[in-house]
Amino acid sequence: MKAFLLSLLMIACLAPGAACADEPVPAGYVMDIALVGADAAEKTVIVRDGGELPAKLMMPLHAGDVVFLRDPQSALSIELGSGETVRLGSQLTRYRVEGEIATGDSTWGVLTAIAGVFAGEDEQAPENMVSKGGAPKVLMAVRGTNFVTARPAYWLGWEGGKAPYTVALLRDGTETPLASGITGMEGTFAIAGPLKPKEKFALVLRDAEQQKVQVRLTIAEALPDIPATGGPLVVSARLTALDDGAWSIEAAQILAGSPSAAAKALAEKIAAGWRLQDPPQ
Amino acid sequence: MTLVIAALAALFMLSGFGSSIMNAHDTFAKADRLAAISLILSGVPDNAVPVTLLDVDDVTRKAWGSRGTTPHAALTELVRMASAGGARGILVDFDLTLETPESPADPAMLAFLQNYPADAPILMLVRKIGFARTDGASGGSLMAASAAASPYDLAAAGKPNIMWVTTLNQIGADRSVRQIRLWQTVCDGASGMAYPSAALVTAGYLTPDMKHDEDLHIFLDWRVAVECGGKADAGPAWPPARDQAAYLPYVFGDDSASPALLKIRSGGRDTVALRRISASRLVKYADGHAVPAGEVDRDPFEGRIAVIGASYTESADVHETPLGTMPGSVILANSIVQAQTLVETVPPRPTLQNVFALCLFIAFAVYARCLVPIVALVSIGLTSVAVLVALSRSFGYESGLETVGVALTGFALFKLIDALGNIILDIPKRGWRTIFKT
Repeated sequence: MKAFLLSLLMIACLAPGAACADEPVPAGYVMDIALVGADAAEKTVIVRDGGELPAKLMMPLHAGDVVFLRDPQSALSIELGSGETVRLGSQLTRYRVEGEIATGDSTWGVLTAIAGVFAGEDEQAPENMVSKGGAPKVLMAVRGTNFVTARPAYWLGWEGGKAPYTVALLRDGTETPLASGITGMEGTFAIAGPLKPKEKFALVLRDAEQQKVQVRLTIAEALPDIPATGGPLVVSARLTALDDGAWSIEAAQILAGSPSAAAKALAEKIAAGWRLQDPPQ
Repeated sequence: MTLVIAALAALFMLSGFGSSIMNAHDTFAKADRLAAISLILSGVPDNAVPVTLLDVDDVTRKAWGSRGTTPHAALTELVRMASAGGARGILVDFDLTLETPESPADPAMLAFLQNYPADAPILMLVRKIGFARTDGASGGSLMAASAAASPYDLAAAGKPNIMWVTTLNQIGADRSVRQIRLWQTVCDGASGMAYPSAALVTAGYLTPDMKHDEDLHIFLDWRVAVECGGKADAGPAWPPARDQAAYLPYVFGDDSASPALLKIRSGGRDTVALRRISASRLVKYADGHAVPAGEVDRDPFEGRIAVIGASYTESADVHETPLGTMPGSVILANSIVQAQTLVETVPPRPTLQNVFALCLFIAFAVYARCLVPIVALVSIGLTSVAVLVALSRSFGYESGLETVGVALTGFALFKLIDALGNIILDIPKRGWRTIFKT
């Protein structure tokens, strides 16, 4: 394994684009500025090469720059490295910037990225296209758009992860808990408020270890144009074959709650990821 | 000895270490993983175009109080900011058609487009294209049926620095995006309109050394003549890429934690290939009005292409790629960074590509013959990655993938025939027992 990693390191250093050279890049960026009092009057809050500069949003800061505030009521924040934020204000009025933003193309960055591919840390081709790692898997969902019709509640089945589970609704950027302490691997979740055609929202499933899977749903204006002969079982089966499975959740909804044994059996198959392969013409 | 090995294997199995090894082995054997490793090792080419992604993320949607359509006034303010900041080009990756034809256009965007100065950077707006199946609801193939009108069409008309583009990805059978469409033609009888991708516009207009603006229009007209009018000729020399779907050599993944990714040299200075900034940091929006959040530095825009795109949850524009899942806007940013490579890399002649594949196949066969299986597998993997990196840099990512793909397929066939041959040759000596190991 050591030899293997060394080989990778050699390739990483020899690859023309994978930079092993050390060129200076910014250490951070100015993210928020709210100057009052003397700072607002003077405007300059950055010392660089012996001079004073005004701060602007998204301005790059380099190692050696000093950011200072004259008035503790002023506020300024800097983003460093991988999202670390330094806030200047009443608690901190002078800060010397050091280091360099990690750009991901150092030798270590390249090796980490490769290790990430091996470990599957970056969500490489998950089985059911919506979950990653050890998170629960909603096998009837696809990544991207899942089409459903507007309903007061949705049935969802999943596998994996660790109980108890929670389910939340993500709508308009706000997450609202729908159910918690779920010990099984299915449930029906009521949505408050009417859903409009084309509206997009998501059901967020979390397990006991806070591993989550997000199922994105879009309200379809109508079901696709498929022959309705054969009843709900045939319609559901046909739906699963459309748009690479994007209608599978809707197919399961049609069957959910049906007392028929055949409907229950088909719903279970859809929940386990079954899709009709060759749609009848 | 067997007992010791069995005990070790059992220990690994029970501790979970064994499954990690198996996962790594499985990972290494998958083509997308090899592609991902080669992409990581390839890094950014010298002709890369730096991009700043102004990201309408969940935080932005919440800050702007957006529900449904992202406010066009806020998008306009971002465009204004990028233009004033010296952006080389600006792409608005939002659907600018309205929910209903009666909905009024946003007055701020309308006025901005009407007064867009002739010396302002190229502004790319995305045309929504409708597709229909060629034979019914579920069968047949999809073809471009219509280009949706936008209420801004009239305001943008006649301005050479405002272009309507397509941002369509080629989604694979496994829903993974490995290719993008370089253009999309929408026919209307024998005529029609060919919309270039942002990568094609970038390669034509926006790379430092290239000026192919006229070539781009000639090429698009030619595509209409070919696809709608049935014309059949070799067409213009530019661009060298002739396939509508081009393999995208991804440069970066969806690393929202990193404010800057990959150093490159552009315009005589060191910069980063991608800067990703939450749009809410730059623009405040309330009651239908958008204002700058403060005085913004030129650094995020100067000499760069600004992509105003979405990553918020409800956009549902998230795709699987060889470098992991990422929003469509990040795929777009990748295609712009790699625009010149995508469009202008000349593929090798088929004979030369076959020679490369044959040499690689012979190397694999030698590994399999001379090395123990695990070492052979690792050697094949490393060689594949090295060849993929080398060929991608010289002849394009697609050629690299095809060469390694042909060699690996040939090697699999070789192993199959080799195994069958051994069994057949052994039958006279061992009869049916030949299926067992000695």
